[in-house]
Amino acid sequence: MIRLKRIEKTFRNGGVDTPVLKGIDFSLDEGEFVALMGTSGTGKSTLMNILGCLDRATAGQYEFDGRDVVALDDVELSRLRNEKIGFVFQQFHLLPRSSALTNVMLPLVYASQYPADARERAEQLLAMVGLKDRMGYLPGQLSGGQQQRVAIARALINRPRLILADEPTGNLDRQSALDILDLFSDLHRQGHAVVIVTHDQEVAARARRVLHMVDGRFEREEVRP
Amino acid sequence: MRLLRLAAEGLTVLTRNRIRALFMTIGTVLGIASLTAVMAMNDGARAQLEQHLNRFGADKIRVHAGGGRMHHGGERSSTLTLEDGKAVALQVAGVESVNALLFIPETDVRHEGSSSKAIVIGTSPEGLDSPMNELDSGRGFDRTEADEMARVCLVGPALQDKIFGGADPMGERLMVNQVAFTVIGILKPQGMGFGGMNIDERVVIPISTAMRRVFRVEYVSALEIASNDRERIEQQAEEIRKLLAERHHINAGEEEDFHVMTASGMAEFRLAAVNKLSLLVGSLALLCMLVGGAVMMNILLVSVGERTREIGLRRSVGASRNDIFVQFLTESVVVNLVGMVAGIVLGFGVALVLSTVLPEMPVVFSLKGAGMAVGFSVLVGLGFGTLPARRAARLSPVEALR
Ligand SMILES: Nc1ncnc2c1ncn2[C@@H]1O[C@H](COP(=O)(O)OP(=O)(O)OP(=O)(O)O)[C@@H](O)[C@H]1O
Ligand SMILES: [Mg+2]
Repeated sequence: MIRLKRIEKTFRNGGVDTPVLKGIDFSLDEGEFVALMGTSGTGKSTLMNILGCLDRATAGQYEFDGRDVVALDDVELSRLRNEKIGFVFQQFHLLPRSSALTNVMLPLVYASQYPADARERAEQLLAMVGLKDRMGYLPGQLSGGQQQRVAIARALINRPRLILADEPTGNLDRQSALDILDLFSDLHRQGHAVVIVTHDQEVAARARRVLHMVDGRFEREEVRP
Repeated sequence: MRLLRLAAEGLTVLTRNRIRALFMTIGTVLGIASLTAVMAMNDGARAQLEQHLNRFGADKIRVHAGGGRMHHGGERSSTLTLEDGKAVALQVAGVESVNALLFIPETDVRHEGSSSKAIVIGTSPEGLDSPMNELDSGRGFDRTEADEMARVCLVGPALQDKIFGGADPMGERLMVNQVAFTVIGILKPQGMGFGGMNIDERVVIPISTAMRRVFRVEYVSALEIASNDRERIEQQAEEIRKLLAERHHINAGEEEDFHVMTASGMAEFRLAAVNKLSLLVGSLALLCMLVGGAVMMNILLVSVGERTREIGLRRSVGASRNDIFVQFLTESVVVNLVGMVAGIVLGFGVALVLSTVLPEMPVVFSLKGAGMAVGFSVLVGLGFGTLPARRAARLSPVEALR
């Protein structure tokens, strides 16, 4: 599904170059569950942003379903994000003045086809993440774990094949974190490809593939049978 | 369809933050309100003028005694005479009739205990046909009465209230400048100013009676000339001016002691004044909208700053730069359209209130004004909304989400 070759990313700020990604090769197949680990500042989030088409690499090749991502323009990239990728962030990023249901439906605003069953879909997803009785709540009226579940439902509304989660449990207590991880395991079982950034060994233990990143490169890959 | 969804999203954001939306609209509301009010007064003035001109008559030429424009009585001039009228009737081609008028303002009128000042108008019986002298009840005077210098009078409705306490004055005695008259008719209200006086407080009597019996004068105040050739009316006015100048021995370059007016000449003069005022207030309205637009732009710029994360999030779920641009621009355009509607309502309301306080300033809802309001608010919305919308669209999603 995804193939990265020799991806590099260098930030340029007022003449100062900060090389962050220094030649990443990475392939991801349909339905895979991958954990990305590494110490702080090694470039995990930077890589996730490139994978999610939110940012462009400085050099290298990126193919998504056989399409050359590097050649896509802003509108095409946006459409790709909208249709094929679901993001889950550490900080949830919900619209504070919108209900859980409205937040879940947000990506549909930008969809090229607005599904007739948008509302039912959103309700089903909220039920699936265990928030059947919280649909009308504002984010401020929900716990951190519940907010993250709303965010996961939002990531799923357009039925993307790839879920990118950057430390999704980083802001949660132990129990909530475990619940969220169970959700990701479920998604993997349902056939979504999942890439999850984590510092937690226990999280990584659920993944079949674990990539260890050091200083902008993959240093080692564990693959469990 | 997708565009509609984006616009709806922009709208939702607005309704979620009403106070902010309110501040964004203030300039537009005030600007459009003043524009609407001005246009209402402008159109009202035009409508009133048209009404006056209809009353004046497109086939009429008036000669007023005394120099200067729009001279009504005021400082009296004694050089215009009945003979001037006769000369005009005889010597100017296409003149159908000439009616001489005498206006004597501030005349004492009395009935039993009550007294007042009124404007007395002397006219020929033919002059009673003018729409200005339409009767509410009773009758006018005829040729025989005029020839006999009969002491009969018609009174305006306001004077009827003042002197007769609203009671039926028909057949009652009215002392006009110490001469006793009998009231034979009541005039319909005209509701317009007349050289600073209320024309509904007038007394209309035969001009012969007025000149010989009441005021003992040899001059008249005005000549009302009916033309039977409308096309040539301006030329006729010019001929009359020349004729009278000659009769009054006025040399070229000297100031005339009379003034010749036609309906179209009068309209030009009055409209010029109305337009000047409208232009002034109109530019103020425009200024108001520009300042309001700048305020709105700043609020939007601040809001782009505050909503950076939201913008980043929207980008991450599939909004393109264009989508963000459209969404923010919708906000500013909608704000301006809502402000425009409020402004039109407010402005016309204010104009209506003003016109009840000042009856000589009528107002009419102006479609042209409404059209201008729509145009201006869309322009301001687009003009001042573009910069913030572009700034929002240009944010890098990664930076925005940080
Ligand atoms: N816009 C930028 N300009 C310059 N340097 C940047 C910029 N964005 C990120 N960096 C640098 O890139 C490096 C990698 O950042 P990144 O956020 O990808 O790390 P990370 O692996 O996700 O760390 P963490 O585990 O703390 O989230 C950091 O050293 C950071 O300072
Ligand atoms: Mg990170």
